[in-house]
Amino acid sequence: MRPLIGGDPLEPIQLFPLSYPWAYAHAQQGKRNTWFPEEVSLADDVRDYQTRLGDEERRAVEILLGFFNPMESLVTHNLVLSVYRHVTAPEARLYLARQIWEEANHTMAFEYVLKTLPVDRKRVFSAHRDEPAVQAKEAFLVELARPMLAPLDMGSEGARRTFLRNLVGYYVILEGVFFYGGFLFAYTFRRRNLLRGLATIVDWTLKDESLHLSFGIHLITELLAQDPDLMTPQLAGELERLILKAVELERAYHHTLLPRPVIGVSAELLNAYVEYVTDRRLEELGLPARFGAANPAPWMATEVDVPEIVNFFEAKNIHYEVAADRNR
Amino acid sequence: MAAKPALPSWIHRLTQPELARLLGCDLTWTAGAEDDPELAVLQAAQARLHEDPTCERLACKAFLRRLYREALGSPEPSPAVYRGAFPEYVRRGVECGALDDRLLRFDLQGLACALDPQRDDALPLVGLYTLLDRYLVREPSSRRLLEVPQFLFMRVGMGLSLQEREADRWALAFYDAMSQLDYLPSTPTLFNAGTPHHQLSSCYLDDVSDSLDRILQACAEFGRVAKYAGGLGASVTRLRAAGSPIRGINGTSSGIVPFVHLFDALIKAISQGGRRRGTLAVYLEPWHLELRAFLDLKRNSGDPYLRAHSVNTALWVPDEFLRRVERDEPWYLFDPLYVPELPDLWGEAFRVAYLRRVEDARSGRIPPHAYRVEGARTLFREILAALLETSHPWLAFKDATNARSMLPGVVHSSNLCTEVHLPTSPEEMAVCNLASVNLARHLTPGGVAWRRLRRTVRCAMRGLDNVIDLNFYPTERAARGNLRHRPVGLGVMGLAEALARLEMPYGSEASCAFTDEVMERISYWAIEASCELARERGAFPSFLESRWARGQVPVDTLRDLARMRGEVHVYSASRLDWDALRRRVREGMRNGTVLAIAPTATISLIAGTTPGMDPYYANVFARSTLSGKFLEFNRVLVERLQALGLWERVRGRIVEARGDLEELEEVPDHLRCVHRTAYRIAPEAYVRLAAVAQKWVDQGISRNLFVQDRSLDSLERLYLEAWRAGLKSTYYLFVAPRMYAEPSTVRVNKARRKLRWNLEVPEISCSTSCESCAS
Repeated sequence: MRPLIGGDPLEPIQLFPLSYPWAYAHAQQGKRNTWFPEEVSLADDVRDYQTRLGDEERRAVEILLGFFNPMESLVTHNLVLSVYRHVTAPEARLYLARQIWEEANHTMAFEYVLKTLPVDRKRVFSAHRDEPAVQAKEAFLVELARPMLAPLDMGSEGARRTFLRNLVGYYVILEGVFFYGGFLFAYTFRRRNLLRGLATIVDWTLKDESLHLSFGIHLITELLAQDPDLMTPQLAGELERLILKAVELERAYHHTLLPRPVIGVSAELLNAYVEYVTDRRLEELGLPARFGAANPAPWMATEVDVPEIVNFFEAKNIHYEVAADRNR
Repeated sequence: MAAKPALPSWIHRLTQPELARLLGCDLTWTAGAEDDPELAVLQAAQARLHEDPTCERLACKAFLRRLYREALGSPEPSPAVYRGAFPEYVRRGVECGALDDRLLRFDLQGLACALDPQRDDALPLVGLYTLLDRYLVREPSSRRLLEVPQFLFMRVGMGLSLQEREADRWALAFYDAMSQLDYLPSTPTLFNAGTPHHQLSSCYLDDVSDSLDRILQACAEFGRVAKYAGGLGASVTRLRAAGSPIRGINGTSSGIVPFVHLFDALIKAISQGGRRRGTLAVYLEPWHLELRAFLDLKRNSGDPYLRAHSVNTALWVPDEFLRRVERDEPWYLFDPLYVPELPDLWGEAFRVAYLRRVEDARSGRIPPHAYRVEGARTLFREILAALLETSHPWLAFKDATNARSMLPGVVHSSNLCTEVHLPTSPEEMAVCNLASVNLARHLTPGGVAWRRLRRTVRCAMRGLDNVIDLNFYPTERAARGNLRHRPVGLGVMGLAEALARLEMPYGSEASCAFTDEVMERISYWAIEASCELARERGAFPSFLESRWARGQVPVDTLRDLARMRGEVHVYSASRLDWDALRRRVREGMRNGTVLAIAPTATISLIAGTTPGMDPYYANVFARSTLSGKFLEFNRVLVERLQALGLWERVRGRIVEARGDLEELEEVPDHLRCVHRTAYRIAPEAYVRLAAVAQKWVDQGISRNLFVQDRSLDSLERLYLEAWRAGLKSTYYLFVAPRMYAEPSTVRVNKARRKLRWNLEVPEISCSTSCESCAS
């Protein structure tokens, strides 16, 4: 059994035999999920943006786009500078490399959207500097990454705890909570048959994020399984506080995003959804749920949960996979 | 949460909190609709469709109130007001140029009296959205809504009757059948009948000749066809391959790909006014030297100039290729410049010519740059791999089509949806008008309402024949082809719903026997109707050159196919007195072809049934269309579960299981057996059902295939079986996804239940919370 973390980061190594088959499985599935933003036509989205969205809605979409790209860049920084350095099992690194590519692809995808839609680019590009609520979320994540830049010896319990906090911050909070509110917001437009191209990109991104999150939870639970003493009541409390702090940041952000409700969505709905998702993440980490919130957007069943069939000439089918296993 | 959807007539008077209480929902659900109670009801009811399908009626009511308010000025028009508005609608429509002024000649008062506003209530929610979004006529400049659903059906009925002597009577007959959703004509007819733009045909087929002038002419013609909502199928087999000499300029050709790319851009430029997208399928025979480049056209990576994302690709496969696949023999690919006769040959003649060309290649009479040798089986597996990744190219079978064609001339390709199979030539572009009978509307408790079905078939056939003379043809070549052969294509939709209602598992013996009988009768009655139309109006001009003149009917051509191939894997029983019909056919047919089973992707949504011959995709699923993404439950299953008192208990689990009942032990076995999802049905069942239907159908069938097993071996078996069973074509290949996004409303983690991701690598199935991995 090769160590999951703390091995020699520069050691040349064979992939097989696998110690963590789940990591390899994630890498395989990631490969099959390959997509490119240019596959989605945004022509109808441009029309929607120009003629069918109200000012409030356009502004909200711009803030959303302004938030996504810098956040995706933070994920990439963290994967490269923190996670890849300390996770040394080769199959896990294989997946991390794949995930880094996906994050870059997401960055390019949102770039593709905002260079195609007639958005107020100045607002989009500066949102993360001008809007305090966006700024606060970024600062929160930067602070979780900063301690990782110092030399850390995974042999020490303190270092492992720092790493755990970082993993929770990025995999669970950023990818598992922050992004999910954003996805829901994008889907509220598709519910009204608007911005369907953007929603298709979100479909793909969500599929990727689901896999990232799954990998993150596997990584965290595996670390805890190998190191049962790591999770002290104190650390659990700390992680919980971290997550709840993120929910607070999210509430402020929603208020910035939607000072007033638009058709089908309000800041309150987004808050309730984030609480609902947060409960789920807490339980995944083995912590008690805090909000007991019901899903305020049951229509997400249509958007995400049930299998989709596409009228081919009318919408993009995202369900084909590349790298079919040809030789079988 | 189980709010009882109440009578909605008073809903608009409720305050928001009262409404929320009534719907059992949170106020956040109705965000942004504070001043619009109907929108709030619609949003809230639609949000709960997956929990309580009865919410659909409520949502529909709210939807209709909005629609009525916009079109009729009142959210709750009395039947008298509804009917009374009809003559005014026609007058205004004509005035503003939205309707054909010939509609004014009808007895508008009389027709108005026949309108049945209650039939609006039978339309499903997705149908209403679709109608409002794209079908209902609006004032051209203001985009103000003029039509309500019953007006649409009457407008189409009138549009189809413009040249009838008893125009009012026929308008009523068409109205009656359509408004009860017994059958629906194709989308272009619903869009355009009774309007000044009467392009009513769905399908156009063409064969592109190998000269720059002809290619550019094809572009002009394709553009016009697409503009008027026609879908195109075009063979590009004749186009010389890359590197082939061009004499005029002493240069070389850049091959088929740049021209397909050109068609791709053209078709993208024409969005049909936002109501439908321009659509084109290009067909290639698999002996073309550029087969590989053709297979790559739909891939999502590689040089974008060598890709074509908007067009669809299909192969026009001769038997010789598949025989060589079976025997694992070599396959020669040729530049068509050197084998110009092959596109016009099929069957034995093709085989002989092909062998001669192989000999030419071997002996050096064809230059080395103009041919290549590959393993047939290797190529076939490459084709299947492309299908697996991109669902293209579709496979259609050239020899089955031609051996069974009723018309003179060679069929060079199928159409956009692989159900139309008509000859083309430099003089003629083929055209086909389509309509589909809704089988689910012709059931009695234990079987089929045959008399009603016969009446519907006859009505639909008359409407189809009328289209030929009423139609506006975007090109002269199309007019020529259509008026000479007068082909039509009557099909079916709602097969899966009918089977579910009769409790026959899709693909079972019983379902095959049922399909066989239904299609035999529809075939019989459609041919009979065309004979009678011939007596009334005369036979189609090329009748004497057709097989009909020899007293042959479609099922007879199956024997020709069997003779050509040695055998066809389909049993050939019949029930009706075909000899009597053969005698009548000999005297004259009005239409060169009568049947084609289209996918009905959109009209089946309006009719609220399953599309074409497709199965239920799952027992709950979402359908993405131009009009949005819509949740659908298998209504038959819901009714059955409600009758058993099980519905409340299992509905959540059905969503959790993504509409698959296989492991829901609470559901009785027989229901689980009848209501399998598309991927749980054996793929061979799709071939079997299509094969028995194809017996009776003179054109073809859009046969979607659904597979869970993505191995090339099993795909190879499946497609070879489709060929052997005598199918003329296959359509999309749907492959079960191996991974889904994390669900939102399903409590996956709390139950610590495995997410259904089929991560199949080393033995362990993984997910966010699977027992084997998580601590």
